[in-house]
Amino acid sequence: MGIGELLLELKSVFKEDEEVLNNGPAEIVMKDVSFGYDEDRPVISDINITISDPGLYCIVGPNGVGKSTLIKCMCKILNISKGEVLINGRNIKEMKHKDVAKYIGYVPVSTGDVFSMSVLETILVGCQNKNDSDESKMRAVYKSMSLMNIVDLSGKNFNELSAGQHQKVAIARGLVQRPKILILDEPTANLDVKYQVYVTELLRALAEHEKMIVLMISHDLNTSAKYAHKVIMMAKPGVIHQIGDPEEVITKENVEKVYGVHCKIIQDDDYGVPIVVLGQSMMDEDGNIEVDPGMFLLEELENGKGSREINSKVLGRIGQRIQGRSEEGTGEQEHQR
Amino acid sequence: MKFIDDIDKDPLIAGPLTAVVRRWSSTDDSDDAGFRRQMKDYHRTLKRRMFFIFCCVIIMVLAAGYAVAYGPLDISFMDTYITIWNHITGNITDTGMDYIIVTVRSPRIVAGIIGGIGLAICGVVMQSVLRNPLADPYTTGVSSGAGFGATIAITFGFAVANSSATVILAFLFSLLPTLSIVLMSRHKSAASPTVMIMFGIGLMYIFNALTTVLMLWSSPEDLAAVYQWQVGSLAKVDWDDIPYMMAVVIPGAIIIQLLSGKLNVLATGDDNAKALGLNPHQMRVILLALTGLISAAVVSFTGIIGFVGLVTPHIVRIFIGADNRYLIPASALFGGMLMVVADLIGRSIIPDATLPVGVVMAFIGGPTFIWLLLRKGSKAW
Repeated sequence: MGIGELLLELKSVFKEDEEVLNNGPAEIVMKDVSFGYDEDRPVISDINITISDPGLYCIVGPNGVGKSTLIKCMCKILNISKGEVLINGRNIKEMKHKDVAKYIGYVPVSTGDVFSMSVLETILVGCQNKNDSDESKMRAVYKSMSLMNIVDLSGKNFNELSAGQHQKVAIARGLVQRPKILILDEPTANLDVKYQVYVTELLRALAEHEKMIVLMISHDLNTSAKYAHKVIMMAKPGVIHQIGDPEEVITKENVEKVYGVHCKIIQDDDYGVPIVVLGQSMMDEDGNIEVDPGMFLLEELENGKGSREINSKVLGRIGQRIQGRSEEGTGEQEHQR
Repeated sequence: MKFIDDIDKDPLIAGPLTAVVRRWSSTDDSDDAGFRRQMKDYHRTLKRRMFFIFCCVIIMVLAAGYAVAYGPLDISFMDTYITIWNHITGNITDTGMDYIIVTVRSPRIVAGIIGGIGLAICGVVMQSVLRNPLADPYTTGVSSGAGFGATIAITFGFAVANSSATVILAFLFSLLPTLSIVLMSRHKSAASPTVMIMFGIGLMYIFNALTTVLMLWSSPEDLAAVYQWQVGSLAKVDWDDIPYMMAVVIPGAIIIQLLSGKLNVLATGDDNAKALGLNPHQMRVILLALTGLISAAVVSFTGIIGFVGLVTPHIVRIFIGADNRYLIPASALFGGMLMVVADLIGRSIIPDATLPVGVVMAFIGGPTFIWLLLRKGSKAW
């Protein structure tokens, strides 16, 4: 790389972009999105979603189904291999990270840093895109800290905190960006029961009051069913099984099919939301706990009642997989373990 | 439950929470005791940091004055400052004194300060960029590259033909490791910070091996010269060299300071950096190229001075934390101070002999550093 090129890159770091954020409501559209670390093994495939209404969206699904990958593709942390992601009609491939960050706040599953700053400074990093005065940045940080109830920790070193406190700091940093779209990767992981409820309740309130789109990954079906406006259920092999109101998505059929756990659904009398009571896990005759949901989907197709979210391409691939499995025999079983 | 526009009407949201959310979203910044307390605490932290930086400057100035005053010809502490002041204002009264202080003794002090600043900044930036507490100009291969360049110049006799050949070759070869790290990082799998530093360590071994081969074949005089170059010393720097060092170190330091906020973002990891609106790859390349240049500019004149780049950031982090906006200037000044003090000790501790600055630094700095680590625990990293 020549000096000239380096100077150009340096200039682009300092250069201010034209204002991209319009004041209208935000919208995320994913069209035929696929992503894979390897070419031939996609983690998520043929994702089609449009999220245009504000609200709290809970993404649920078993481990390794591509939930984190999906949200990372939405905010350009991962570059999708196929399809396109549009934010307010703009393709994120053509947007700089800086522009994407003006719309989207992303809260990762938080861990300690190699070199850690104080909590206050860690959250202040979330303001780096803004051209506000230091005073107003500090005020924004203070507001977000009080929202997460961590004002007392402000002077502490980030690495001294517990995992739950890390999580709260990470959420506060996401909030300080004041994004139109907030995306959280398991925000309630590591939190105690009180804060699990508090955070989910808070995210619902923010979505309603600020007219934000809040997307969160959750493993708690009951909290999701209670607080989410919409639930996005993902299933193997990296597809969206169903999107809809909680009572439509969190059903006995879906939970058993997607997670492979026996359950019954009862109705919460106070709020009219479904409550999942989990039963035994499903196993196949060899004692493998992983039940391939692809099998269920295929059975469904054979019985002629395939759900509308499963498009033909995916089914084609599931078919290939199952064929491949019967050819490979034990190889696939080892992989499952 | 359906989307409800008014959060007060949402039965799922507790009453107090609606108030909290409203307060968060309102732009009304009425005075708040909690916020004032936070600002007060923060200002106290800033004052402490400023005090640390101020102390470094004071010690550096005093040590520099003492270092200039110290020598075979005894010059008083005050006379030193007066002579320097007179030289700056162009009002030279005693030409002999002026010659000794400004021409003979000052260059090594100035070189020490600039070198310390440069190497310490490189240490901070490399550690943050590569997210590794062991990153410094040595582990990224810069020093070894310089060493190989200097060895070529000495053993092949270029240094005899042209006195600046050692510096030029050392400079060119010390750029090679960073350049190859930057070029390699375009290759997808080599772009992670861990791969980068391991790549640097690989290069370090290669260059060291090449240097050893050259040393095995060289004459005893050359061997001595190479060896002397490798321990690093400020003695060989004179006024002609200093503009070159400054021309790289000072602008480089300013650019890095301007980027320090972004360095904080980068230090939180690539995913976070992207989400916060920074292109981590681009930033890493820019910063590594800058630190490569700075450390090359220092090391090619002074020889390999270890320790400053690696340890200064760690010591300073213990005192002022890991926020790069303050860590960079504080480390720079601390590094400059450390070099001057170490060089002074090296010259004065054994009568009629001079210990190279790198050796002194390791002798004093090593135990101090270990003591600080054990005493303070590892909070900051």
